[in-house]
Amino acid sequence: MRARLRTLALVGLLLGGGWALRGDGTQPSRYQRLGEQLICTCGCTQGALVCNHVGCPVVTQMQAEIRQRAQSTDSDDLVLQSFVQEYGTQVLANPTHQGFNQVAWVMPWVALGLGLLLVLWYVRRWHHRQAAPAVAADAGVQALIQREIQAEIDKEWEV
Amino acid sequence: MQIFGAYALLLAFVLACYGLVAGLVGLGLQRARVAASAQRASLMVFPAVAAAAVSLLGLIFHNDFSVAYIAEHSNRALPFYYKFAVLWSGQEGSLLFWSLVLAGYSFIALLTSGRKHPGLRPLVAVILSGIQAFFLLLNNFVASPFSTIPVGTPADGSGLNPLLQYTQMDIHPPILYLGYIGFSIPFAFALAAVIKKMPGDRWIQVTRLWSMVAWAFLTVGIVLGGYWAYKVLGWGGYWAWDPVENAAFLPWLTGTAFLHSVMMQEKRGMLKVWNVGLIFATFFLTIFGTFLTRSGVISSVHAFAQSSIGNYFVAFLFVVAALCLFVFFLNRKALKSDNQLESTVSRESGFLFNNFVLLVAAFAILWGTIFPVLSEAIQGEKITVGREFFDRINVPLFLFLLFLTGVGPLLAWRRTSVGSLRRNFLWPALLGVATAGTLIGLGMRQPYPLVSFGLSAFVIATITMEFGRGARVLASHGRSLPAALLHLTLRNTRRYGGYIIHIGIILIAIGITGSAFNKDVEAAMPYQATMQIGSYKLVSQSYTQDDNPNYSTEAEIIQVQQNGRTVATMYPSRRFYKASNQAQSMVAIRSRPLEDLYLVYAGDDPNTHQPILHAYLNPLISWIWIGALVVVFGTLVALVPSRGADSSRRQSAAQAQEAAPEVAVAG
Repeated sequence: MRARLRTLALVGLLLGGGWALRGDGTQPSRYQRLGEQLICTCGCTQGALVCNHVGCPVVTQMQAEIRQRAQSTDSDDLVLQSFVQEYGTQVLANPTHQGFNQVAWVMPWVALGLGLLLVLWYVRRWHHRQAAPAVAADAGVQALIQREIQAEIDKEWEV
Repeated sequence: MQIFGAYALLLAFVLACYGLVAGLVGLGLQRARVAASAQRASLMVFPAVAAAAVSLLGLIFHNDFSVAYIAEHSNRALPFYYKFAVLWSGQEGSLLFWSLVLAGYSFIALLTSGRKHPGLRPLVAVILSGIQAFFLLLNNFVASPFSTIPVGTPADGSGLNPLLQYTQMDIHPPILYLGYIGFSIPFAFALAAVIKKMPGDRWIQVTRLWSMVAWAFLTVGIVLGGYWAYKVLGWGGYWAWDPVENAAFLPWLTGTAFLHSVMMQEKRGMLKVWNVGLIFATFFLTIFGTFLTRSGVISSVHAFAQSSIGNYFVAFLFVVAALCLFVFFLNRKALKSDNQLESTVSRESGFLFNNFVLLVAAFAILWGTIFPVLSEAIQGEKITVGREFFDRINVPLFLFLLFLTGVGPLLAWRRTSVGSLRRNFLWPALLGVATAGTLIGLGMRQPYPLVSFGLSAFVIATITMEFGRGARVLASHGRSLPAALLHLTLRNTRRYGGYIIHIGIILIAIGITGSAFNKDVEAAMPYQATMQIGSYKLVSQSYTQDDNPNYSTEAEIIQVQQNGRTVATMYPSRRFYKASNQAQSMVAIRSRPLEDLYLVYAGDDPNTHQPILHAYLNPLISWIWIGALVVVFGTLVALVPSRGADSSRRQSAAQAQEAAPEVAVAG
C-alpha cells in the first residue's frame, strides 16, 4: 500500500510538472522558427540565432534579415529560398529532401529496418535451434526444464 | 623547467615504446624477465608524464611566455583558478593532459590487476603502452606543449578564451577526459582476453567494472558540457547536436549498450562476440571523437584549430581497426555462446532490443555528424545537418528506449509467463496511461511530450514496485522501511544501483521533454521598459559598469515581477576581455524546479543604441542536472560490492551448473 502511495506521489509530482506546462501549446515565433532552419555563414556553422562570435561579419545582418522577412506574407519555404539565393545552400541548417541530400534522411531508417531484420533473424535462429531438442526431449526432461525455469523466475522475483 | 618538462615527456615516450616492444618480445619469445621489465616500464610512464604536466603547470603559474603554448593560452591577469584550465584549453596541453590521464589509468589498472588477472596483465600492459606511445609521439614530435617562441618573449600572453573562463571549464574537460580515456582500460582487457582466447567470465568482470567507471565519468562530463553551454553560450539551450557533442555521445551510447548486454554474458554466457564488438567499437569511437575534435574536418564551437594532427589519428584508427578485426576473426571460436535465447518475452530479448535501439541511435548520430564531410566529398558542397535531423530520428528511438527501461527489469531471465507479465505491468501501465490522459485533460496536446511523460510515469512506477516489493518483505521481519530499503540495496547493489541510475535517466528525460515548451522574447529594453514572458514581468531598472585587470563589464539591471510582486533582481551582462580583445555575454539565470528564467544582455541595437534583452523561459531544465547527480549516485551504489546475496547466488549458480550441466544445455 505504502509503495503504491509513493508511486502515486511521484506521479503527482509529474502531474505538477504537467500542470505547469498546461495549455502551453504555443508555437515558437516565426522569427525563431525560420532562424532555427538557418545557420550563420561566417564559417562557425552555429545557428543563425545562436552564433555569438564577437565581431562576426554576418550574424547581425542575418538576424536583421530574418526578423524583417519573418514579417512578410511569404510562406516559410519562400523565405528560406530567398536566403538560399543570397547565401547558397550552406545557409540551410538541414539537408534538403532532394538529390543526394535525400540520402541523409533515408539512411538512419534503412539502418533501423536492417537492424530490426537482424534482431528478428537472430531470435528466429535461436528458436529453430532449440526446436529440435525440445521435440526429442521426453516428458521427464521437459518437466525438469520447466521446474528449472520456474525456479529461476521465482528466484529472480524473490528478495 | 621547460627543458625538464620536455625531457620528462621524451622519457615517458621512450618508456612507453619500451613497454610495447619489450612486452611483445617477452611474450613472443616467452622471456619472463623481459616481459616483467616491460611491465615496469609501462608503470613508470605515469610518473614521467606527471612530471611533464607539473612542469607545464609550473610554467603557466610563473607566466613564462617564452613557451608558445602559454603565450597563446594564458596571460598575467588570468585568475589562478583558471590557470589550471590552461593545461587543457589548447591542442598541445590537452594532448599532454590526455597522456597524463591515460598513464594514471594504466598505472592503477596494472597495479590492481596483477593478482586477479596474472595471465592478462602482461598483454594488457603491452596494449596500454601501445596506446600511450601513440599519444606521447604526438606530445613529443607533433604538438609539443614545451615549444618555445623562436624570437622575443612577449610581455603578456593572449589570454584564455573567454568561453573557457568559467568554473565549469575547470572540471568539465577533466571529467570528460576521464570518461573518454577510461574506455582504454576495458578495451585493453577485452583485446588481451580475445588474443589469449580466454573464456568470457575470466575477463568480463574487470571489463565491466572499468566500463562503469568510464561510463559514469563520461555521463557527468557530457552533462557538465551541457551545463556549461547553458550557462555560457547564451542561446538558452544546453544541447545543439554539435559534432563535438555528438562525438562524446557516440561512445556513451555504445558503452551503455555494453553495460546492458554484458549482463547477458555474465548471467547466461551469451552475446560474447557482440560484447567484444561493443567494447572495441566504444574505444574506436573515443579515438574517432578525438580525431573529429582535433583534425578540423568538422567545424564546432568546441573544436580545436585545424591542424595536420588528424592524419596521425586516421593512421592510428586504421591500426586499431585492423588489429581488432584480425584478432577477432582469428580467435572468434573462443567467443561461442554457452546458452541460447529461449523466449522472445525474456530479459535477454529486452537487452537485445535495448542494444538494437542504442546502436541505431548511435549510427544515426554518426551518420548526421559525418554527412557534411561526405556531401562535400561527393557534391563539393558542405551540407549542414542540424537539430531537426537529429530530433526527428532520435526522439522516437529514445522514447522506445524509455519504454524498454520500464519493461526490461520486469522481465525474467530465460522466459516470462503471461501471469507474471500481467502482475508486473498492470499498475505501471495504468499509471502511465492515466498520467498521459490527465495531461491531455489539462490541455497538453503535443504527442511526443505526452508519450514521454506517460512513459516516465510508467518507468518510475515499475522501479518503485521493484523497491517496494523487496522492502515490504524485509520490513515484515521487523525492519523500518528506510532500513529495509538500505538493506535491500546493499544485498544487490548492482541491481538496485541500476534502478537508481534508471531513475536519474528518467529525471533527465523529463527535463529534456520540458524543452518542448520553451518560450523566448527579444526586445529593446531602455530604462523603465517592460517585457512579459510567461508569468514574469521584466522591468529595466538601470545599467551598471565595472572594471578589473582581466575584463570590463556592462550590465543591465532587471527587476523580475510575478503576480504583481518583485521576486528577484537579475543582472545579465557583457564582459570585454582585454588580453584576448573578445566580448562575452554573461547570462543571468533564476532557476526553479519547474522553470528557469534565463536572461541574455544581447548588446545594443546598432540603429537605436538601446540595450537588447533576450529572455527565455525554460521549463523543467533543472531536472536534467538533478537527474545527472542521481545517475552518479546510482553508479557509485552499483560499484559497491554486494553484501552476501550476490556472491552466494553466484556460488549456488555455479554449483547448480556443475551439478546439472545437461539441463543447462537442454535449456
